[in-house]
Amino acid sequence: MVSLIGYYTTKFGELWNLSLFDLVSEAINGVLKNAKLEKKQIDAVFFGNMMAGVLGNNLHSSAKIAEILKVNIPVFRVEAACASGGLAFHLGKNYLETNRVRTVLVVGAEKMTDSSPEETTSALASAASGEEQEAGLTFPGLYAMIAQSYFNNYGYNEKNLAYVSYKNHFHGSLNEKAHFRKRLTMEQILESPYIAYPLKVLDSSPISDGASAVILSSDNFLIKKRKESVNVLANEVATDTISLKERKKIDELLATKIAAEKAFAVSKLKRSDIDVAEVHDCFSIAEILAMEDLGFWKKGEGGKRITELSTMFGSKSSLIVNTSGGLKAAGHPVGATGIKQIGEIFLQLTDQATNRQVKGAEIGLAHNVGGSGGTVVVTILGN
Amino acid sequence: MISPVKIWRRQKQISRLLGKRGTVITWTEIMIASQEFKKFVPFPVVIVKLDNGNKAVGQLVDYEEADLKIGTKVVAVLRKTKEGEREDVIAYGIKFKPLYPSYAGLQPKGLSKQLRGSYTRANSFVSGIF
Repeated sequence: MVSLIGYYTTKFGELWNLSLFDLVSEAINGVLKNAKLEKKQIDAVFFGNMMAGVLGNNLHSSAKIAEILKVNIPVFRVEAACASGGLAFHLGKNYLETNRVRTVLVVGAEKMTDSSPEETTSALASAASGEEQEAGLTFPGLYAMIAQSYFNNYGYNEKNLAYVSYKNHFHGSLNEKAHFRKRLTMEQILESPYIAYPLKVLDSSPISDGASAVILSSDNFLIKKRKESVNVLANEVATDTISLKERKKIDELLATKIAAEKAFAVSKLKRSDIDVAEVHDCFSIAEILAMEDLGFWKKGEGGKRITELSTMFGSKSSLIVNTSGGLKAAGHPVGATGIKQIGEIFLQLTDQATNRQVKGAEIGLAHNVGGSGGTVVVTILGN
Repeated sequence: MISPVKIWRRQKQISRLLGKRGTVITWTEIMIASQEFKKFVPFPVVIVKLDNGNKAVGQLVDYEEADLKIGTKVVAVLRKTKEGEREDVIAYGIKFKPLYPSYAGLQPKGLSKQLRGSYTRANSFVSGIF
């Protein structure tokens, strides 16, 4: 059984003082301190990152991390667009299970604010197909088309989307590491300008810098020594076409459904067992679809269910979603998000979530998506 | 630099789609674009289900507000897609235009069956080239 025995995240935001590898250093040192481990106890490092090559002309990060840590252990860089963090976690966990090693560090990081918004938008678009890029599509554009299809099939509109941003910004105000700490009103969200009709600025996760790291171990002695640890009950990956047009259904992420089915089957759990979840709300529509595709809500009901705000912290319901603030309010440094999501669940399950602690949270789920749904990683944690 | 080799490779795909007709199954209007498309905003992009069952994606051109909806019948046309520096190749590709443009004021159900047929044939012949 692989367990999570440490977590650290940098603040997410516009971190002008910190370069990509400053962030990576901070996260690695922070998580070692959190787990009370020395770097010589780490057997391998997995690094989730999407755009260091495109934006910073920085590749061969394995050697860079070896230089920072002053180690000679294996280091692996993993990329799957916005699912880079989750996929790095998956590979780290599997590496532990199949090798004679005991402890692995997984770090996800992204530096996005050194570049202009246009450069960053172009870099992000590399997660879309060549044809989609040639048509001038951006990521908001792709998710906007998903939203239009969903509205058309189920009769919803932009107002249904605003509840997601409203909820997640409330959560962001409770998370000292979040990019955005201010609460938003429904009016502010609905009046924000369009980026790609019908998605508006306040439907979209921001451009942020940040790094998050976790330590995984299969060493029972180490695990028992830690007061705070959770088991990885399931961690499954599924893929789908990179092109939105080639999907079986435009308003559904098949990869989410497949990865979720596998994760629940492996862990022998039911959807109702999940107390807290971090789902991939790169755009507000993505959270609504995630709740349906993960199996928490029935297909087509999402637009209505979100208006009940049952998944908001403070509600009496049995499932609270995105206490970190989601991607929307906590920020979305692409490579770091997947790790931050898992880390937030770790905090909830080990009673470390302070003012946003969901009482009695015992089992949690993290859902990380790459691109418009081409890669999905679903993780279930618990004890 | 826009790679002339890439443009040449992609030309085969253009001839496969040119003149094909289909229906818009979803759309958006881009207000904030990436670097190369900045000067064209706002512009609509559509996903089209072609009559032959395949799907295609591209910008919508020569349209009116009323055409920007799911269900609009479109035809694939040849248009300039990218322009680079002075010495770059100009890239051409597929975009879509409404088969029954609402600006022409001619909707199929307003015409007699005979006129509808000849209108469609003439329009798609012309549209297929431009």
